[in-house]
Amino acid sequence: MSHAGAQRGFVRTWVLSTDHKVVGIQYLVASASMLLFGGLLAMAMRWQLAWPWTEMPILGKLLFPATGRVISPAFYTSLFTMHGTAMVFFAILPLLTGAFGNFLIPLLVGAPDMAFPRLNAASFWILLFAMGLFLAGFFVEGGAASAGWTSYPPLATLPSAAPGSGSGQTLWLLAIVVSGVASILNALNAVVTVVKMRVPGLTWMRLPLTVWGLFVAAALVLAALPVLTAGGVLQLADRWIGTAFYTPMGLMVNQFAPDAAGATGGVPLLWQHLFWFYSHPAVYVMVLPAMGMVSDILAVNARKPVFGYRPMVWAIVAIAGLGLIVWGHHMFTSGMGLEIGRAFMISTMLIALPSAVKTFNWVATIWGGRIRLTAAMCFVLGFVALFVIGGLSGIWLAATPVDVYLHDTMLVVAHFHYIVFGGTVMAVFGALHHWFPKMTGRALSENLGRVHCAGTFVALNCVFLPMHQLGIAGMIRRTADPNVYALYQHLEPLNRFVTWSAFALMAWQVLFLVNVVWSLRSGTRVGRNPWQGTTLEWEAPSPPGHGNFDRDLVVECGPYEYGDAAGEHDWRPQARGGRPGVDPTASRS
Amino acid sequence: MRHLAAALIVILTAAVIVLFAVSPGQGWWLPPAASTIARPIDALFDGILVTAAVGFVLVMALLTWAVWRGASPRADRARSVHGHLGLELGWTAAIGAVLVTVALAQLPTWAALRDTAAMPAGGATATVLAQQFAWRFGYAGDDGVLGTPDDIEAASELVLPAGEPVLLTLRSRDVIHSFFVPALRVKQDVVPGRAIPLWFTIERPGTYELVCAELCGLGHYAMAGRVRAIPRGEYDAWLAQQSRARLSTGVEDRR
Amino acid sequence: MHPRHAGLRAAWLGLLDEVRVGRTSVDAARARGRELFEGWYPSLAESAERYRVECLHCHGVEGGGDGPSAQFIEPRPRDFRHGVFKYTALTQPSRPRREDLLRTLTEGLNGTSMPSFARLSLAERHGLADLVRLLAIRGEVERRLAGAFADEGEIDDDAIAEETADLYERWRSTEDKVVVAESEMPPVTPELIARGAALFRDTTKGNCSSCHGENGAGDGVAAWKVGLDGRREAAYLDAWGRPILPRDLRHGILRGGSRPIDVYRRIWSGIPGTPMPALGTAKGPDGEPVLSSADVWSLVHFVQSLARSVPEPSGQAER
Repeated sequence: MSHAGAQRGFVRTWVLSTDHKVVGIQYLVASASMLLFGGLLAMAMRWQLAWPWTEMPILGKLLFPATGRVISPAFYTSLFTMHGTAMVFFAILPLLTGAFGNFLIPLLVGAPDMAFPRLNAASFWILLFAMGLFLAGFFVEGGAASAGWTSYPPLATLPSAAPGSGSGQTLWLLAIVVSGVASILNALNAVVTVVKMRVPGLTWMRLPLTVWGLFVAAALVLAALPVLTAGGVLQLADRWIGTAFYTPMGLMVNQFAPDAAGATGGVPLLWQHLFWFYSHPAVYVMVLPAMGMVSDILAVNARKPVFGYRPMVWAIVAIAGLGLIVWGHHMFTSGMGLEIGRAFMISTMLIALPSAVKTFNWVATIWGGRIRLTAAMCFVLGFVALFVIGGLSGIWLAATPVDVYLHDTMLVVAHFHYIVFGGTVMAVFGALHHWFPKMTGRALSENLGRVHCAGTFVALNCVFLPMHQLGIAGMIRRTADPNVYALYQHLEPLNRFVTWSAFALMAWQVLFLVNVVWSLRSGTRVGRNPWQGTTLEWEAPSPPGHGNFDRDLVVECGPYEYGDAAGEHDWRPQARGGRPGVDPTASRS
Repeated sequence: MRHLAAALIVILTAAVIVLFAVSPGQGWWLPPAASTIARPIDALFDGILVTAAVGFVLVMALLTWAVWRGASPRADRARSVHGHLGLELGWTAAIGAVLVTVALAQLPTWAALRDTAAMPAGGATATVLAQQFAWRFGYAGDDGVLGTPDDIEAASELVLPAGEPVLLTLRSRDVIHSFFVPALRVKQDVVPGRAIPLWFTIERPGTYELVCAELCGLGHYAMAGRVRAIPRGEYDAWLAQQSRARLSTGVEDRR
Repeated sequence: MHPRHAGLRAAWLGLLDEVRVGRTSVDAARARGRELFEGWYPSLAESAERYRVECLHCHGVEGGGDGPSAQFIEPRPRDFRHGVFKYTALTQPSRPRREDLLRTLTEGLNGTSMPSFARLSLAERHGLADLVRLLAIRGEVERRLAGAFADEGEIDDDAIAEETADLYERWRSTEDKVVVAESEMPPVTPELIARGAALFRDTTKGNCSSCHGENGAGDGVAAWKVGLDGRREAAYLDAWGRPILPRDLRHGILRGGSRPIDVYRRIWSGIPGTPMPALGTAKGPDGEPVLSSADVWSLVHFVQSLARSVPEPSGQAER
């Protein structure tokens, strides 16, 4: 896998490269862009919820000239649909599995690249193509998909049922199916790399938890994503070849009777099963790598081993395994029978257990640690606190009678945003701070990073905490105008507070952008191991060249040899011959 | 710096507690309950809230202390503790016990909601037809049988007797909707191709908002309705009056 | 009864009592009554804002049925500017009464995207009904004047005043046009349904099947024609220029209301703006009415029985 020869031109180095680090950065840039895009869509949604049917200053005239300068009811349905889809499928999932997965897995297992480098690069381009299909939805007749990111039939499958259920939905389906192909290829690559390409001495139980998180997440993708892809293909078949997998008989939708078109006799709930069979494990695909990275960053910055390594590994596996059998908790109100409801309730309650165990292990990792409050550490501490909140609100939702009330209310929105934003996104920021030096050879500004973290932490809570109250008061999701119901009219101050906080949260992210741009050009240069980490990525130069390592690595201990038992220094590298304490350019805490 | 981080965690914990404490007084809370099933649901809700609050404060306290104190000041290194089997088993068992208790506690209420053996028979019954973007209701006419020519049809307002079990049959004309009455704590998705039963008892007369809780298209946000519960005597009178109105020759429109 | 409405009623009744016992003069009571009403009834600005929030996205700024959501809705939202409203209690041609507009607002139109606005107070609904009338009158005046301008090349103030006055009068004079059934509705029997079926299919009587089809499926031969591309298309256009098909009666979706008197009125006075004729006032070649009131009731029973039939799937194809 050598690419000898110094100058290969911009296109071959940065565009067509099959080097896992370049592919990882490509994923990073693309997903981060979609994250920003999804955030902007959310800002529009928050505007509408705080000041329904009012014209946005400046943007109203620019964005909505055809609908009286305000967001129309139809466009609002596309807003939340595209926001959710962009965030789940094109921002968070590829950030974790594509950006961090590709960049870190070979470095953490001591490999020169992923098992299938060209497949790796191909999976990125396939995802980029899917992103293009997705965004094209805004420009077709009827507008972008508008049936929610959950895309339930018949609303999604019958063009007469919703504006975006024509071409917009077709593009949405193609984007999901194509991105599914990219995800599956990426997951395959990750699994094979971890299984086959670990250096000698790196046994399973010496792998950093980041690798465990990414590996198990990839296995989940392989197990469950094909089901969603198949479900999406069935929706496409309903559109293109006249099948009716999801369309029941006897409907009259906007004067269109599908019975007349011939094919009916389908079942809307079939989609819900196929969709959630992947989309629930998908949330674990989003959180398990984050949990792994959090564990690693905590250990490095507390100068202490991860507490309970084996239980942590079993917890990751348990979360994934249980994650495959809880999907019905999204469907408690769909007409579910007594026994199935019980079964899904039990499995959903059970999955709280390994998550809670991990939380206690994180606290125990920090306990008594010689804590270095780097920016990365700030973010992962934030992760732990906010993941607790997100996890606890999940208990309400797991209790089926309570879920009957809370389903499709803002409490669900609060719950998953705490996990994905307060959890995964905070972990991503922490991971970026932690591994930016490895990626670029320069450090991000610690001070700016800490300020960014604190502001994000505060604003995030201001946005999503009150959503619990909105949901408890019965405010439904996906509503363009809460004031329609007398029940919600007194919630207006809360909605406005959330909106202002959301604007502040969005604005605060500029600090991170500034940090990245500035640091890329003028950040402090660092050596191989600015954080004195024990794991294998720190053996490579910063940034690593092709092939990553300049010597053969043999692993002789676990990934968390920190503290008073580590030997001469407070840390002992995993690799034999690693030299602690000799990196003169290590950045200070 | 560490102390600042610990302080932020304390502030967060305090903010959560304060917000949840003031919310009921501000009306940012469950609407006043009006059905018999609301009682156990609200009790479960409160029980989980208290349990979660205790767990929340405990974990946040531990986290705060861990961050605040860090390592022992005299040691220049942390203790390389890799784990502790007793602790792992302990907290696993404790959390497990809590979850098992919550799981068991809710089983009777779920059964009351979904066990067809709990379905009432012989009392007030109505059909609910959900369409884009309105609710329509059907009641049996004088013959007492639903689905016959003398059925009464109404839009938007569902009139039901208070104080006795009622049975609704939910159907959709087009896409999935959801019949949600927050005050009654009932919610049932209305799935096209199916006729789904929903039963509950409204405790006292009143008017309760009906919300569509499943995205059904561009008018989803405006698909409002009402459930009006009246005493049984008035309900019978209302039904009779509706039946009579169906026989109208239209003369009351002439003034 | 909405609290504000109940309060107004109570206040007025109180005023009446005061006049009766001589505590208040009639003039003072009248002035006070007016004050109370104006406090209850929304101002035009308030109604316009309510219209903007609730109605505009379908019905459009000028009531032209061309709001942002209109293109996604079938049937299209009403274009008020023709002054034609399909579902009234009146013989045609007439402008609707306030009560007809209020009924549509309160109950919605079954089978269309026009929802019920019963959640608004009665005062707000009255305000909206008046706003609809304003938009309808203004729209129709503008269309007529535009026609006059196209013909004569000018519009003078007299023409404007004339058109407005003419339309206003048409809107006012609806009271004597209410359709009242001449006989009581007979109870439903199989014989009456069979009689209705016969009238439905009899070309000299109802002749309904020519459009609505033998079994009410909306597939009668008169409703369809073969277009230039050889495909079947609607034979008729409605008053708003869009292709229109006869109702498929088997779905039980009757937009103007499902009470027997509602169906009676649709048959009796037809549906303005559509090819549905006024059979109640139709006269045969001998000058006699084609259908008696009893005949119409039989048809009503037959139509309502269709709604409960279980047909083979063969409804209207997507346009």
